[in-house]
Amino acid sequence: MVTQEQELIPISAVGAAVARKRPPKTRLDRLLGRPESGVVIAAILVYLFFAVMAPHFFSERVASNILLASAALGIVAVGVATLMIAGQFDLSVGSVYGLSAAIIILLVNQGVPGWVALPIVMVFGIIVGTINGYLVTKLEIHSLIITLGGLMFYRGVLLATTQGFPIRLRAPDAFLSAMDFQIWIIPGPFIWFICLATIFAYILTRTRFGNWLFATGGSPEAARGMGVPAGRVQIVAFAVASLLACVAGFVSVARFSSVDALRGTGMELEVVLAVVVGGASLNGGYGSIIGAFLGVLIIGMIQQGLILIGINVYWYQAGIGLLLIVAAIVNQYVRKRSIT
Amino acid sequence: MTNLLELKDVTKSFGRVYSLRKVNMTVRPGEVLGLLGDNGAGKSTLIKVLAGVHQPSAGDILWDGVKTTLDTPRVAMSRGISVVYQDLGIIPLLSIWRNFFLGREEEVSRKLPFHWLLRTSHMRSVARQALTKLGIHIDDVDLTVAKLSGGERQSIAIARAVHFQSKLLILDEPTAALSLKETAKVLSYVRAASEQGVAVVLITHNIAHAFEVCDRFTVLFHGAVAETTEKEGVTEQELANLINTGTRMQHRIAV
Repeated sequence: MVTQEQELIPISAVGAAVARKRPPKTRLDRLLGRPESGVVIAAILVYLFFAVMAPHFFSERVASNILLASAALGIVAVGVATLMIAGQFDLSVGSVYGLSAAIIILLVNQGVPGWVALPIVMVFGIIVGTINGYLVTKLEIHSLIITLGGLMFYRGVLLATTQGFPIRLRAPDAFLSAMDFQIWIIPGPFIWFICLATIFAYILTRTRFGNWLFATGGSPEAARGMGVPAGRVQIVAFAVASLLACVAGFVSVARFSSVDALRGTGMELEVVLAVVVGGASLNGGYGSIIGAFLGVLIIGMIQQGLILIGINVYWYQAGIGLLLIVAAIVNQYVRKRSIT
Repeated sequence: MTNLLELKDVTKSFGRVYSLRKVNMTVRPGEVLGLLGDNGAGKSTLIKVLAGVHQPSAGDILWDGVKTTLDTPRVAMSRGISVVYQDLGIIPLLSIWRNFFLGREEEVSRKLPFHWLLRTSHMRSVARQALTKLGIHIDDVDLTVAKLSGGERQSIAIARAVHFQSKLLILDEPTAALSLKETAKVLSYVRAASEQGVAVVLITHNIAHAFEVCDRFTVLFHGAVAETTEKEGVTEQELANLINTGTRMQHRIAV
């Protein structure tokens, strides 16, 4: 029971006691508490490892290859990171990515100009994501189930329409060619990736919607209690994930002018890997776009680096798997540090 | 003086199960009302009705003497009703200032380009000041709430309600799972809030805590109001009996 004496403690004195209890945070503590801290160190280590081990790792050609290899994965990862922070995830992005690329090629081959095809697949992406989001939030079916169905469905549609054969642009399209640019060693797709990552990093940390994304992922009930429309926030996040998968599809068509029916297979898991390596929590409410960006770069470096070293490419999967486990352990430590 | 809030015969049923039966309750401006009752008495349902989470099946809600509906939590918030849930209402992984402004984020002036950007440094300093005003000293508002103690979390929610000029603050079991010292702190914040003119509904089943800060009590029993009384007109024992049996008498329950 609370005694009369305790009640009479002046409020300010009580507060001061609270303040004294906690040691001041050092700058290092603050840095290590950020979701990206693990992945920054990992990226540097991976870079140094290949810089020492692999010949020509510093060459412009290799750097350019790494950036190109990361671009499509990265664009998708930005969307998936956003969704994961909102507390959900999407296994259908790889299939949607492949299908959207095929849709663009089919449209352009039908005589639709590229600048019209882009908004069409973007709308397609928004519709796909909204359907996913609606089913998950309103019918309360787990996102794993809904998007696993999506993974099968959209891949099946792609395989059926292409009969499993690769399809390519019959004639070059002016708009698509214009999108295939290169600035110094940075290929166009990677510039798209940088731009989208920057925009979304801003949205997540500096806007109301970003705050709502984190809040929804952290605790949907609590967010709802504070007037945040948690369901709608998650639907928008689903739409963003599918939309960016379609943008990635467009960017890859602009670069390669073709798509095979298996394009993007396995991408959904690689993306999760990149985002988790980048410090995001599968439980939602925690993570960062910058982390996902670096996670994608690490995957690209390992991919190209192993080729350069001349190691059998099958080791790539083993290496990536190991990386994920190590990163998950490090991130767990970082997360604990920032919340306890 | 008109009542800030008045419930008239508010009933809430889920299918055939009645959680609230014809509840009549009033809250006066600036008072601390203790809403007491055992588990399952209907306290949680009642605050969810007031928070705009549930809609009453029947009965009226009067806000400042005017009949009103609270369709969503956002509507309730815009009327000036703030609810601090037991362990909800605060997002552990978000920083203090982001929690403080959750749902009421301040954006850069509409006249500027990029007006949807948040005024982050302004929000930080406002949060810090609002906490200080209530006697809570936390220097680093960038700390995640997960790092704070239970009492500190409650205090942030209370400071938030006071700062955003809530007229009615509903606290759901604020002292559950708190140490004695923290309980004293939180109760002092409740007093501070009421001194700044905010009416407080304190939900608890700890009679001692309720007696310490409340001006009046409404006791729920099996979804209905057992009694509403001024603090002066009741003893702690009688309150306990009201909670347990629905009357001031102590019934011996036949086994």
